[in-house]
Amino acid sequence: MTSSKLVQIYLGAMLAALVAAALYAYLMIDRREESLESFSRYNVAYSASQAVIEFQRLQMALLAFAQSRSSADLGEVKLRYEILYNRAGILSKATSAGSRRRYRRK
Amino acid sequence: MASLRSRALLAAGLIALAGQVFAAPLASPKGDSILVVSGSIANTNDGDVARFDRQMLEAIGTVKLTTQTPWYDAPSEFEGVSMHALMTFVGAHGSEVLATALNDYRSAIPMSDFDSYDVVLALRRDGKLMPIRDKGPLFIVYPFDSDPKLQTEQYYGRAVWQVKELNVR
Repeated sequence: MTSSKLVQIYLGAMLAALVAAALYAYLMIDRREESLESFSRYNVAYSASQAVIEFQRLQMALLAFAQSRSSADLGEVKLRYEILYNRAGILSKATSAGSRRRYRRK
Repeated sequence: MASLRSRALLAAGLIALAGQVFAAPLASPKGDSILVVSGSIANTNDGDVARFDRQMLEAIGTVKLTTQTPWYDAPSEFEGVSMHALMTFVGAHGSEVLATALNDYRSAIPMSDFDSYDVVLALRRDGKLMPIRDKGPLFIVYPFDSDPKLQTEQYYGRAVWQVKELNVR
């Protein structure tokens, strides 16, 4: 076997190894992207469900205040409103383009 | 020799003083209570729990932490009490802290995090007190920029905002 043949075999093997490495890297990145996408979708869904719960708690606080007109119940209304306001901000950011990966379940 | 003895006496005095400070009964909050620390703690002011208003927390001593977080576009400067200092102040003895938010979200935080990282219970962001509508009044913040390991779902989940209670267990 000539030396040029050996170099050809060596280069061929190198090329095959590089293609395999590139394929592996592509698959890993693709898999990671999928998990990130599902994670962000889940968080938006979770935030939305939390928003519903927090809205219901605000409604309950309003009903309680309507009946009692007490300052304690008014404080609860303010608290639930502020929590819902915070949630609205989180939802707004979570659904905006470019920030989908930044949100988590909370 | 005399110098050594006086230094030893001074050190002993300081240790005794520190012990008295931490063993002293915790004063009651004068303002609105914004944090309850419960569970395995030695320093309390209301039955088995320790209640804090903002001034009491700030009196422990505040630290600043600037970091990028997933929730704000630019790096923010957070100012608040070091979680390690707070746990020492209340005489906490446990392996984890269960943080509960105003919306009843809960997250268990290993006590070892407060030794490994400069975790801050933030009261202020960029110099302003944090309102409830923007993750206040208390927000557990990790120094996310200091270690890529912290930039994961695991640690983001421990960064509880709108904290109302810390249960040591």
